[in-house]
Amino acid sequence: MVIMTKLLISGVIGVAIACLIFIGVVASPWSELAKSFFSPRAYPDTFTVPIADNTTLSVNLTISNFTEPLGLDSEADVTVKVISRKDMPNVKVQITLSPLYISQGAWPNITWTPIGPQGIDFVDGNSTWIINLVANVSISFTTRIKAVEVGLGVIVATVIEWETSSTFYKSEDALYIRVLQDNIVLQDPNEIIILP
Amino acid sequence: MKSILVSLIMFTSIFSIFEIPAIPSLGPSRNSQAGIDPAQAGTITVTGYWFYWFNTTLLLPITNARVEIYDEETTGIVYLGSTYTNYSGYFTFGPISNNDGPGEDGLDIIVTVNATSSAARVIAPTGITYSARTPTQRDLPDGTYEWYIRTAYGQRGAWWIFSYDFGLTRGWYYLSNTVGYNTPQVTACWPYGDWPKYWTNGTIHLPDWACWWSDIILHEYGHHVMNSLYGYIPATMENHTIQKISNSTTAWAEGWADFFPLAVFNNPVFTWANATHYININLEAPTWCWSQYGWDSGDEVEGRVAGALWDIYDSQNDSAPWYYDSFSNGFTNIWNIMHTTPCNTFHEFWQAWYTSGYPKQTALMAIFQNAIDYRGLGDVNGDCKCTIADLVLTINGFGTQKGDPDWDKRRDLNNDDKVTMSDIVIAQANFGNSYDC
Repeated sequence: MVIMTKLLISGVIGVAIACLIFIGVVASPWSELAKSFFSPRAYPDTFTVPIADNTTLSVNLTISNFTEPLGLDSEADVTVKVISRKDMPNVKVQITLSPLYISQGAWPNITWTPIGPQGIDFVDGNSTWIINLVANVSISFTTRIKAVEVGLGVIVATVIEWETSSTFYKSEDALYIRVLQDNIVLQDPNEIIILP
Repeated sequence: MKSILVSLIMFTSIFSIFEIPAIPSLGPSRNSQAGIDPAQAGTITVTGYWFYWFNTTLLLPITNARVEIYDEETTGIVYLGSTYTNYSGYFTFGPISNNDGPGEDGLDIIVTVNATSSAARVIAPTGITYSARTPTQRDLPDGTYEWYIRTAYGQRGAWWIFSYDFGLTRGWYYLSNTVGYNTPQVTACWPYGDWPKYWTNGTIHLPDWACWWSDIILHEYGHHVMNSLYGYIPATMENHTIQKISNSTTAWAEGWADFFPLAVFNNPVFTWANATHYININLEAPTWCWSQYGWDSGDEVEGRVAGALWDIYDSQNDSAPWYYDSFSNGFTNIWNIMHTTPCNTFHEFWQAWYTSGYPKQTALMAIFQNAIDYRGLGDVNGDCKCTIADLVLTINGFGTQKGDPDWDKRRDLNNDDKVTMSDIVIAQANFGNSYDC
């Protein structure tokens, strides 16, 4: 009896399937079925990105020749020295000036404000250079800055070279200069200090 | 040259570096003259903000770190007490008596910040907890002080690991805030070894490069969370990759750990890295037919497990042609399973989910979206029974195959990438069945 019932159900379902196939496949072109649900999709690419090698290419910042008296209106030479352990064409060297910022809020939803004025500005000359480096031969550039107001300025020198899409050299150095009314002080970023 | 110049400048102005005035913000000083009477001493309150370096120009607040206050004496330093920084890096201590002893001016205060809390501790390979201390602020008059203090640039990797922004503290807060779980303290040792590792004694080893990658830090923290809940970690293969078959226990342990940072940052992109390269893997994207991108299918693939957990969690419906995930269930139900039922595989997790009373069909299809098929035979739409609706779905897909614009993987019941009579027969043969998926 059970077998007969199952056979009967199978038979009925088989007929139903045949009808549905006819309706779905023959009467309606299958390529149009559910068309509105589908659209071409661009698959996101995933690719590896190199992390900067900061050992092959290096940069060093120095500051010298302050005009006396130290303090507001003093000027000084900022020298960036670049050296590579291998030949590198088209190396970009850049010096930027910035205040030191502090932030409140958690990354990435942060707002940051300068601790105070950056205190320094470029006097003249370039702050960006494109150079060809020969292995182990250093190149230096100098630009001039001036203490323009009381504050804390950050001088950042960055060198970057993309050798290939998978090899990336970058190095960075920074100087921290506190400008007072009658003095100029270099701060060591490894010094634990109470900020002004 | 720089060092010479620094020395020169420091010679002329060395006190300028350290004499940065600690400005009392209230109350006149009663200790402004030497030799105060201890009985007359007033009080002092020390407040301030601790920061760590994000990069060369930006400082971020140190959250939930232990701050200790000391008084420096000729015989050594005297511990006065401790507190913790808040979300903004702010701490406050006091008021305390500003009595520095007979014949002395006010206290000589030192403030330290330590990479330790009930949530996390970051130590050097020597076992020493990373910390920073201010220069001594000598002979402070009575009053309240507010200092903005920065840590050393050379320690910034340790603070990144500890931080709320990128590190362990963020993981702890996420569980505390979302599900009220108080994760036991984890200890991270940095820099250590050449590959990130979690040990079931609650220790994470991180190589030097790993400090910059929050998903890696929180992946290891995810292992810590599982270990704290289960008391063990399911057996894990030493070598495993996110997109390839490992085994069911590895895929579960690692898949959970891959998922954890995604939930913490509410972002489906997992950034994997090593010492030289990184890669952003959007775990929202992988679905069926991803073999051309190197992805295997099934619940023995950790990236599939992580993607399935993400699709249960997220509020983003997946888009055509892979539209199977329309589930937005958040973290709590996933957590409830984790918390109440130690599972060794993702399938065990699904079984626990199934018996929990949580939504089934939408969860089943969110999982299906990630090439894990827990449906019963013939159950095309994942409603845990094989009905006429499933037959119609299969029949309507008859003749389609992978790559067709109207391809619907659900109808491919025998997984041969085309819908044929075989699939219809499967649906028909299982007609009327109900499933405990």
